[in-house]
Amino acid sequence: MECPCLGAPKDEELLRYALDGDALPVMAQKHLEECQICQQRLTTYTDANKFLIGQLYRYQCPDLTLLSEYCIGTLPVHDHLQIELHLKSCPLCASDVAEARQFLTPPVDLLDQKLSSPFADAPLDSLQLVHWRAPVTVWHKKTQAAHVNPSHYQTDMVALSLEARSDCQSGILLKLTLSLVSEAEGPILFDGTRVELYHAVPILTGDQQLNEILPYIELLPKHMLKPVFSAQADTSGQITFHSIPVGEYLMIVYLPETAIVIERLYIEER
Amino acid sequence: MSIEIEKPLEEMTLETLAECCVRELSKYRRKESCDDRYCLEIFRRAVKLRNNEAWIVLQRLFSDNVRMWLGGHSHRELALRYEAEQTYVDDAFRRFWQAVSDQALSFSTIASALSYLRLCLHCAIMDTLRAFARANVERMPDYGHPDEPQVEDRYHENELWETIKSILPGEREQRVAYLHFHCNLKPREIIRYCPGEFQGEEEIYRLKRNIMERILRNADKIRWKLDGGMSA
Repeated sequence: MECPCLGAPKDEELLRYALDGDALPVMAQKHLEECQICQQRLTTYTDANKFLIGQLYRYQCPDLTLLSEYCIGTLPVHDHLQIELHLKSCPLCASDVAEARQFLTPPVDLLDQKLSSPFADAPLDSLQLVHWRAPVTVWHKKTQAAHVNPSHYQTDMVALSLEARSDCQSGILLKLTLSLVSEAEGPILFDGTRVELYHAVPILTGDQQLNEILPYIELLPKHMLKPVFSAQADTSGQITFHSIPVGEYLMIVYLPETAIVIERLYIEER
Repeated sequence: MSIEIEKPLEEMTLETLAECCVRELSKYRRKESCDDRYCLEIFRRAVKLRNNEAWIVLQRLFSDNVRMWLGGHSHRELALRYEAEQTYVDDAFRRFWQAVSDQALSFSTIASALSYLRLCLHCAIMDTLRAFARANVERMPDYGHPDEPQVEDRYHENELWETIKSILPGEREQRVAYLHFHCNLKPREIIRYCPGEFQGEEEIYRLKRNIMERILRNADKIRWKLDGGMSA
């Protein structure tokens, strides 16, 4: 229904008012207070909007327990991937995850104190650890906790889980585990699978700028000529890298007939 | 005076364990080296042996820690507007108990157990905030229409969302509809939460207008349960 008055708010103005609470122009506001047609227009918008938000608000969001368990890596692979997918579309949950990660990272003095406990060196007296591989628990004496991101990667057939540990003797230890998602396509032998780590960001010298390198990226920049680390999987599909410096890497896992490439692999200590 | 461990931990009385635990926690607070075996043994009895007395001791021992964590939480002020501090503390322990019971969680260090308790507190806070945010959305003014659909009449959310997507032509309209209806974000918030996705607020306003026009034109498809003006 259209209002013929010149002072009537335009559709766009009324929509902004109804949907986002934006103020109406003074004339339009005054007109609205007196015009039943425009009041009906407004009601149409607000009712539709409230109905839809009331029905759809965060209906796809996983609950906080699942999100927090996602943060600490205790979810089964399927749930983990589902949440990862949801996080790509839902900024509210992405924000929740960022907050959870921030809150769940314990203060450093707590770590140090706990690490100095003799208990830390007496695991035989401890409870059996089951189903708990949170990054926040990878604590070692006089070191910070190591983190790797992503901690999981999956193709149609192969899953790769990544775990970083701080080792006071040899720095950060990066452990990878390859496993089959499904054996429908026949088994894959991971024994001997080669994994290479490269510096993800070119090491620039002098006035060299990234823009100068990008046009020649197909020529393979120098930092890509040789991996900084490489290793092979054992019979159980496990690969371990020792003394990995904190940084950003590119990882290539050479599988039969294909390869997994993780362009941004972050290894850090907190 | 130090207390010598004359008996294996599992043979110590709960009272002795609690005393040792308090002593070690005091050391911890004085930033001295401490021994958390006693605390862990109490955890073991509470969680593994389901000893109720041990569980009560645990709550008594670590309630202050939970309160302290709550004090440092970024949403503390907002959370305390909705519920009392003790409610969050109790809820954190309840969730912890639920998790260790349902999922057979167990912990190799007191630090990992406390980390999980910390996680439970976070969930208690954020779930409360989310519940109140949802209640606010559902209590938006004028929403309580006398003809408001009853629960059994409510359109299934997923079906509703699929219908909305089907009447929106482009991915960008669908994206803005998601950010508006599912996330209840204003254009300015969309720009902040999703940097680089849109050219500016004006683009979002324009897309929202298209969305609403299409939805109203296709009201019959969405089977409004609102008043006749909507479905006409």
